[in-house]
Amino acid sequence: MATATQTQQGFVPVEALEKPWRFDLFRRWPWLKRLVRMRSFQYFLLLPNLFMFYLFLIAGLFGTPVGSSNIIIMYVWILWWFVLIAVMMPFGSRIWCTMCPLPFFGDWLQRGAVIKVRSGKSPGTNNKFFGLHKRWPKKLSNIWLQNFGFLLLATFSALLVTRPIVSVIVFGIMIVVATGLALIYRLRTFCNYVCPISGFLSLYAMTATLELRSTDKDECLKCTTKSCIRGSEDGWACPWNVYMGKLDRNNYCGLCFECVKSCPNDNISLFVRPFATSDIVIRGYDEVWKASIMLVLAFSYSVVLLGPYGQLKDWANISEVGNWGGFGLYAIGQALLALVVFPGLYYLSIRLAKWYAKIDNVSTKELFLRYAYMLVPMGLLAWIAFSVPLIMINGSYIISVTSDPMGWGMDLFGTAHFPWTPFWPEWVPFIQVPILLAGFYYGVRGIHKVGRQLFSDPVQLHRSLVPPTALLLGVTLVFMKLFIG
Amino acid sequence: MSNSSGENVRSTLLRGIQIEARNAKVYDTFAQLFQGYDDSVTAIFREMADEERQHGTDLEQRYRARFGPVPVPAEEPKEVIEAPDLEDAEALIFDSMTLVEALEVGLKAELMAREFYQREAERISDPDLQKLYQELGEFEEDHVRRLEEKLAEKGRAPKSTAR
Repeated sequence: MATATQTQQGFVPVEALEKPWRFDLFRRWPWLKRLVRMRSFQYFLLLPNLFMFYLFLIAGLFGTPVGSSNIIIMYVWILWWFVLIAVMMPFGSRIWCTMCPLPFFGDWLQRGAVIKVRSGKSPGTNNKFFGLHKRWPKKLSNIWLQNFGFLLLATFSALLVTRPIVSVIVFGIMIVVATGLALIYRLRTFCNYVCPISGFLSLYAMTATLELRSTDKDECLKCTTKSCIRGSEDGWACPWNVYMGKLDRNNYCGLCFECVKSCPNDNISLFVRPFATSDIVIRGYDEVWKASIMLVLAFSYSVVLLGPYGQLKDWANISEVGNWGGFGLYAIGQALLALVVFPGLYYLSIRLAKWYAKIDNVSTKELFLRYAYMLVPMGLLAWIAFSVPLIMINGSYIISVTSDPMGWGMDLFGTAHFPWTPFWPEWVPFIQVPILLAGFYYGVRGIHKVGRQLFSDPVQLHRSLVPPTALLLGVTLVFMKLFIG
Repeated sequence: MSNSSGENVRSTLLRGIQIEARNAKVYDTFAQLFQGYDDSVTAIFREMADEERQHGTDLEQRYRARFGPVPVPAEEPKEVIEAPDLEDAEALIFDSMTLVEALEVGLKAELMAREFYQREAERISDPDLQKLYQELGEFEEDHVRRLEEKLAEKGRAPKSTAR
């Protein structure tokens, strides 16, 4: 039976959750804090990235249309993707957002500055912003747009990862939209609500071993300025609209470190923490569906790109085969699986959990949202497992394309003719299986922790875990079957 | 009344004044923060800021009557005692702050203060100081009652972080 206070208040207050260890990086290395507090810090990371991105766009526009010989495809969709999903996400949270080039022009125009801070009284802030600074519509203040955007991009991924010009068009549209929204709406509206990449970064950042948090919550209670979110003469208002005083999950913190600069009490620090242990609260259906979409896409990509299903490969590969009927079936099937079938299976597991554990004091909605956390580590690790062969089998293209980024026959570093060489392909399954098992382990451990907050009776707790765990085990086995046959 | 007792009463009253002033600033900050979102939220935070200022003025009058001019504090009070704060770090992202939640921010702070003063009144043996704590507790009790009335008018909903 759920405890009385929990059911009266809905979710358990964050303070009541068990807190794992965390290690204060700023205290250990004060030079890191000094570095981060520099106004130019973000731009040390961003500007080289912007320059590279600009070169990739040029290569996409003017280089060879053959994807495997064009740097934009190899660097963005193989190297960047692998580093993002397998390194940055689990270890650096949203560190990519610190250096992302897409919102740069919007930020620049909105702030009227690249590095310096402008004090002022734009609504809700202590800074002066250029533009209309409107409120984003309340009905769209969620990640549904990001969910559908990513699903749409993923459906056309065969075009995206093989045709350089398509990548240029997509990134070009994203830059224009990000810039336009920055001029009309407040702060990082594009990143918070529209960017399809940001959507899954927000979800998987929950697992990361890095967090930016206040060091002393009482200090935030006493703070009268709330400069972390409103900005000050030392830092811009939080572009993500996050209040550090109560921040308890990574999802929407884009690690811009403006709050470190603006906090008048020097009360914000960067912490290392254990993987997939701290942020376990899923707040809305949009986040549950994001988890479902990501897991199903990892499955779908694994089937299409790594599986032995030639017909399906042809349907998905619209750019070369051009079978629109088949592609339609593939696209509809994928969307149905991500938006209806898998969430339906998960819902069924929650209904079964309620029945089997005789739960009457926790609503189905609450259990559905809270136990959905299991899909977060599982999804991230399934994506990492899927990405391992990408880099190990096709990584050698990166070496050759570095010397000939446009595919024009150049040989800048003497590696242009490096042959396609899979790196230790026989080891791929041995790497993928432990990764998948880790996803299963962290998923189950996560909902066990969630369950402990909801149920005081251990029998009820364990019974409530059985159906969702069975579903997660099924997911793990399906991925294993796909990866190792 | 002994010197030490008088000093305790003086410093307690002064701390009360400082806390009311600090809270007024916090509510003003919240009102500014939600500018352009729900107007009723901005309005209620402004109203709460005004109330805190009024409480501060009342306490200042009492201070002046007993101890003379109110000194300018050298530093902010270290204790939390009564500290209104947003419960949801992502309230602005999801545009989820409602009038009821804004009132609950105030209610939580007032309850915290009432409990503190009541606890101190029970703990302290100095009759002068005990009386002051009781009065401050009643002061907060009055705020709690008013906020609860407003919440009842608005049909208070169970609190949840789910959207």
